[in-house]
Amino acid sequence: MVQKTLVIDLDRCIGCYSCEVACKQENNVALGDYYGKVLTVGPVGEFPNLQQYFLPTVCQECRDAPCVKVCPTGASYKADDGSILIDKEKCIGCRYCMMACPYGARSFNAEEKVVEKCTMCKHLTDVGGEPACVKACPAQARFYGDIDDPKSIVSQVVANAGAENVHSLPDRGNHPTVRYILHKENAEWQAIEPKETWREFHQPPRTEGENKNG
Amino acid sequence: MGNEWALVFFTSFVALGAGTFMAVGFNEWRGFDPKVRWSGAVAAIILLSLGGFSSVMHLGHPERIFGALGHPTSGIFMESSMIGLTALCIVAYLVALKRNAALGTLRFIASVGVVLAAILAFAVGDSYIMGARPAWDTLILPLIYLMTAVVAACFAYNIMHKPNLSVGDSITTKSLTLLALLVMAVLIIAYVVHISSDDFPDYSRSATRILSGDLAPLFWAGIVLVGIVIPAILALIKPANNSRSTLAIIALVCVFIGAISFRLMMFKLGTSVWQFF
Amino acid sequence: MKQSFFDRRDFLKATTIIGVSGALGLSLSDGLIPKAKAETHDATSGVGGEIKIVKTNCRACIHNCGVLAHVKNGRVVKLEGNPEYPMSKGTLCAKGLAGIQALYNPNRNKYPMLRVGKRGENKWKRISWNDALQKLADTLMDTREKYGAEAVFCSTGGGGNPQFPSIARFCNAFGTPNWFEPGCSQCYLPRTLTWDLMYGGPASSIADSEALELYSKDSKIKTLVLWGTSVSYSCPAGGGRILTELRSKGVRTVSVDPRFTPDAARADVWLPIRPGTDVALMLSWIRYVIANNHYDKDFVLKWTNLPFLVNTKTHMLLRASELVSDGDSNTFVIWDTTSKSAKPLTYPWDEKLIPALEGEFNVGGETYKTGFQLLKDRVEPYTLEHAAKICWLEKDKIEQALQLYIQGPSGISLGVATDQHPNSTQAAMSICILDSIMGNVEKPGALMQRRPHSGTMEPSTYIVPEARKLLSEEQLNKRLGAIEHKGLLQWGAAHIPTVLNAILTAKPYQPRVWIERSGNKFAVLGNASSWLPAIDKVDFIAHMYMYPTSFSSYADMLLPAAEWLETNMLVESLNMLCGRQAVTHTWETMDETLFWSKLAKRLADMGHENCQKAFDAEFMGRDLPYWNTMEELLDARLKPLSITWKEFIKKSPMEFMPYDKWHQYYVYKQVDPETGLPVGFSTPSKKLELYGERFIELGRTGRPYATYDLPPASQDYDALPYYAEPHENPNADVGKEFPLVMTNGRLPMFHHGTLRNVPWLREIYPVPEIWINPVAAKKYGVEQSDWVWVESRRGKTQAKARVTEGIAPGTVYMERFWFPETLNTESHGWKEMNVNVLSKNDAPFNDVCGTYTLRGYQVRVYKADSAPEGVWTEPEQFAPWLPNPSDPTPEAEA
Ligand SMILES: Nc1nc2c(c(=O)[nH]1)N[C@H]1C(S)=C(S)[C@@H](COP(=O)(O)OP(=O)(O)OC[C@H]3O[C@@H](n4cnc5c(=O)[nH]c(N)nc54)[C@H](O)[C@@H]3O)O[C@H]1N2
Ligand SMILES: Nc1nc2c(c(=O)[nH]1)N[C@H]1C(S)=C(S)[C@@H](COP(=O)(O)OP(=O)(O)OC[C@H]3O[C@@H](n4cnc5c(=O)[nH]c(N)nc54)[C@H](O)[C@@H]3O)O[C@H]1N2
Ligand code: SF4
Ligand code: SF4
Ligand code: SF4
Ligand code: SF4
Ligand code: SF4
Ligand SMILES: [Mo]
Repeated sequence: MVQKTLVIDLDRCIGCYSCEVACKQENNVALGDYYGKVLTVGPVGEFPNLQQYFLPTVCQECRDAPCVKVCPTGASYKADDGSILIDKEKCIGCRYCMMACPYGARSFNAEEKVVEKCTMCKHLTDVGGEPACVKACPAQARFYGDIDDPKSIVSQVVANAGAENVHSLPDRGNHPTVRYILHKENAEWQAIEPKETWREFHQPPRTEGENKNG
Repeated sequence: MGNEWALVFFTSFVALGAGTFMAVGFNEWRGFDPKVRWSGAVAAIILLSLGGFSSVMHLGHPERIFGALGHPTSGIFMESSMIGLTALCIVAYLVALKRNAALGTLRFIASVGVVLAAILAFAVGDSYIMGARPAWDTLILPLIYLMTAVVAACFAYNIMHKPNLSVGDSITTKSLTLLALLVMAVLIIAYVVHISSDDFPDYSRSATRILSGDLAPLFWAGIVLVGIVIPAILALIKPANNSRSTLAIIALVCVFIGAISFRLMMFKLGTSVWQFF
Repeated sequence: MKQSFFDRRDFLKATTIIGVSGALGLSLSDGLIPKAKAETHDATSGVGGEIKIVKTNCRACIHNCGVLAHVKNGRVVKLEGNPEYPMSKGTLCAKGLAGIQALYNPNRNKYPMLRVGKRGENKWKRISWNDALQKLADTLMDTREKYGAEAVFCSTGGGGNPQFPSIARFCNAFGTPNWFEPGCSQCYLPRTLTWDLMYGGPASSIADSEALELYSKDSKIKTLVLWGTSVSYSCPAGGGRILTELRSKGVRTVSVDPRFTPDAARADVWLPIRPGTDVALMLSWIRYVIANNHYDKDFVLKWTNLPFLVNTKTHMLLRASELVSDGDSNTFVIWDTTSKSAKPLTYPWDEKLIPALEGEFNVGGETYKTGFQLLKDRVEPYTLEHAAKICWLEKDKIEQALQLYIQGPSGISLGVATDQHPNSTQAAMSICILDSIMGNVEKPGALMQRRPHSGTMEPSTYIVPEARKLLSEEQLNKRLGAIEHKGLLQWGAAHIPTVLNAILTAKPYQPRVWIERSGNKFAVLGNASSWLPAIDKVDFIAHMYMYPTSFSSYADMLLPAAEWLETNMLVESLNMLCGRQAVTHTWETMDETLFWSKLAKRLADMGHENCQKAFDAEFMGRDLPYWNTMEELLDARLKPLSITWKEFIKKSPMEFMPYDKWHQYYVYKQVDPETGLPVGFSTPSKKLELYGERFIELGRTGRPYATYDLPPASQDYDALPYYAEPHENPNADVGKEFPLVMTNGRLPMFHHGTLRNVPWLREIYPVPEIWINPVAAKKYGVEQSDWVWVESRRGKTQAKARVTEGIAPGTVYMERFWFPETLNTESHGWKEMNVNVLSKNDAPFNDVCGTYTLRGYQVRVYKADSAPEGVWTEPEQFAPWLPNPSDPTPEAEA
């Protein structure tokens, strides 16, 4: 099988938001919406003994994607390369997929009245390019490729890191494929969503229920 | 108004509509006041339509809904096809009524309708069972949705009933109503227990939030008091002549408010495991 | 695939403009935010057509990263990094990527405009460039005639302006000694000056594209100390990138920073120092290194001036000319331990002598000590314990950091933090001394390196020659504050507080006309409010910028400046030379390089003799005559490479020297073909002049920077670093009322006062935070996300509280901010939430270069009832600033 996905090395990530803006430029994402957003996890601990890392969030390209399962029209689908995509022409804007996503990785495009999400820049990768965020990332912390192919860059990055340093977001049966690399020496991986991720401070995440666009 | 309102009304109206037709179906077997058949069925179809309308309100592109036909596994497909089938059944029932069909025919159609209504009520809740939202990830949820319809059915039945109910019938009705409310209460307790035992505990979906946090007013006043306790008291009151349906109407309104409260609470509790944006 | 860029923008086009004028309450014919409805170009004409990729360079900060601009029908539709650029390697940061939103911002200055209402009323009328230049020239000539050229002063931005010599040159030509920029004494000058005087090479600022050794293919560096610099924020795509790379290769880092930045979080040791106390810590490091014999003794003896004898009374070095009759004045004297006598040490070294490094000696009846001894005496009080106490640090942590640092090759990158308090040059001296005595000099892995330049720019990063010779001795003597703070002469700038004082008091004379060529001076100048009364005393103010800022509200004339995507420039990066080339041109914007020459031309035509000289090729010589086009200047600049600008941009980025040849170590050991001796360092003694006698000489005469000898400063500058406790500190009186120490530092989504009108960036960070430790927050009744007041002796302003462990309980942090959306309100956007309402621009100043206090002063924090009025906090509110693209326009005729 082919499973294209992103691997993000949190040991490298410097929290610069470049990926976010690169994505907005590339995909023309509306204000207040995101396909990827950089969260700050921490500081954890007590001054001056602290840990912190940044968590760039994107769709986790689930193997068993619940967003696809609940979609009534097939607008959300798993493509041949394993990526989860949305055919906006088919989307009825019911937002069940948003409810079904364990991570709030999708947004409702209020203008087009359809749901959208990270496309892994399919229009670029289809022609041999890299996703915009991967290309822009100053720390070269982002990798794109086929996680099922042991020779791919993403598989190699994961293999090099060693299993104990490879993390993924909580699995609710959806089997996320995005992998985060973080070594303990840098910071302890927080398995449960931390209380404050700084961005909430300026912009609290908008749950489906409280979605501004609803 | 947030997006969830459309869905709150959708599911609440569906419960009410399904319950109403359940009462009509019941009526068919108990054989009384033929006048309520027509008005009951019409009320049911109106309530279901209101539900359907609410759900369409929530769609970004309702005009593309036919795309859903090709995907029979989705919750929306289940919901809309069940609404459709139930409504179809009710229409058939009405047509049969108009044509003075035989009692057997009416009973048959009504029974099918009751089953469909029950499935509908359940299905509407079932589509919210999602691993993504720990607070929803339980069978208790559709059972509560189903029981809302059943409780509504009990009171709807009381409304439709002839003023003079036989003592036996009265006791049966009262017991059934109380039993339904009891089951509902048990389910609600079970739900709170479920909430407090998740792998990914978070305040946003905690029992604390329900029992003493910002959702406490909604829970205690809306769901417990208005949704269960008051209807139970109303069911217990021995009605004066002619006031039976008045009490039942009040109770039904309470049940509806309780349903709305529960659904609102459910949406507030329905936070995802992480919320990125 | 959708044609991403245009859909949403088209949609928004209609609503955008109404939004802006609505939001800003504009009903004026040509307000600060012009009514763009009538001017809106058809955005759809960008759809279709070929994509052309233009290689250029970013200037959204001072790092110059390589950019590939995608252009369609003359419109920029996408930006990405250029992989050929050696420092950023194809990456690009958030600010760079936001370039399109800056370029096509609906709120651009599009035409020259003249004020028609009262000042501050924001009523403007459009005028032609011709009229604007004429009006300016008339005002300048008039003022010069009545009050002297010095009554005109100019200002610019330093952090981001790749060519403030443009301003210096114009001022020299016009004959005024007065221009300033808010960085300078507060940014980089303390470091460039110090490294220049002590070493003759570049300072170690990563954000300023130095510390080039870090980019070496196989750098040997083992430990990098980030001292008051956070490169992940101040230059993500270059410095941030290479730092990540180095860390992944095992390079250990130390971060000396009060704020828990990404670089602090990743550091092996984080030292959250009390702001403003750096020199105390630095002196303790020097003491530790010396006391524990970790310094490179051989190198110190042979390649620094520390063994030289210093007269303890005059503080001057003993010269051979004073010791022996045929002695040379550039040969210095050591104490020879064998003969127990003072002996001239011939350059570079005399095997027959065994110089004493330490000690006090009597030579000819006078007391002398070696420079090293004086340094040792100076640092003696600064034990680690003592420094720990002053700096609010743990002694063990300091020692841990030192243990890493002493395992070289190591290097200290000194950031801007220490340039922003009055101890600025002393901090720079301390770091230069530290790396030097450790022997971290020009060897593989060391940050102190001299690498060849392309020769196209002098000094190495500026295309416009300053032409100092145009300014007469008489006028130079009138430079405000520069006699007292002669370090300013290195950049040729005036002292900001002295200029302010002159405006307010008319002493020594009254400055009357102000041409300002940068962003929002109220956001970047210390104690911004102190400028309000000054503005009333200035007769005429012209403001040249890309879009209106708070400062524009007080101006009389607005001139539209070009965005970086519209300008041409040379950029050096390692062994490569790159061309920032104009990708498009919008409205009637002008590149300032042309603006100043056009203005000088007018003045010349009106009979200004000095300006006429500035056009005389023969007279100007290497300083180049003024140019009529950019190409003329750039062609002249590229002469050393025998290539024209047109040819060059086809090859850019281009190696000006093969990497291996460029990548040199041990430059000081290279043999000078003329003398047959090592070239040494670029100082008079050719040694590292760590005993900074040159500072004394500078203070007394202005040498080596002044074109003419100047009268001495009121006091000699100190040849060695000293620690001065911040004037406002928690233990001083002011600490009782204002208990918290304020500091600042960069954010990755803004560059100084810029980009506050860019939706993509404002939605990330809509309002400034103040970081406060939970202990302090509790004490002062502040909770997470509260709106708070922050107050100093100079004023109060608001911020949003971010309660975080990432800062000491006694320290708070905030960045500069202003709000384009409240430009037309009474605050003019700069008062609501701006840390520079609080900062301090009065004495004490740094003696050498006049630095005032932007970091390390006292404030208090308390809860506010509400948010400041009118500021935008929600992402959707920024919609009026979404790009409104326009077709390319020809350069304005003037
Ligand atoms: N409280 C506090 N105050 C500070 C600081 C702080 O940390 N705290 N930092 C200080 C520092 S380090 C600095 S350098 C100053 C910065 O102060 P300024 O330099 O005055 O700041 P800006 O004008 O906002 O930014 C520099 C400008 O250069 C512009 N630019 C780009 N190309 C050109 C060009 O060709 N010509 C000209 N003229 N401009 C161009 C950019 O668009 C940008 O607007 O602020 C200082 N003020
Ligand atoms: N994004 C962005 N990049 C920029 C700029 C910008 O405005 N925005 N400006 C450019 C300019 S002109 C400059 S000068 C450079 C500056 O670049 P850097 O030298 O990296 O400067 P800062 O981030 O201002 O300050 C560095 C760190 O010093 C810390 N600090 C504050 N007070 C003290 C103190 O008293 N002692 C010590 N040791 N540390 C302290 C701050 O928390 C901050 O993290 O950045 C350049 N790059
Ligand atoms: S909103 Fe669109 S993509 Fe999501 S489930 Fe509904 S139809 Fe599918
Ligand atoms: S992360 Fe969410 S949107 Fe992405 S595939 Fe998984 S469920 Fe779907
Ligand atoms: S892969 Fe493309 S769509 Fe996904 S976050 Fe990165 S830039 Fe955005
Ligand atoms: S661009 Fe790279 S370094 Fe910057 S925040 Fe995104 S992942 Fe992290
Ligand atoms: S670091 Fe960012 S803003 Fe600075 S030059 Fe590079 S891309 Fe532009
Ligand atoms: Mo600066």
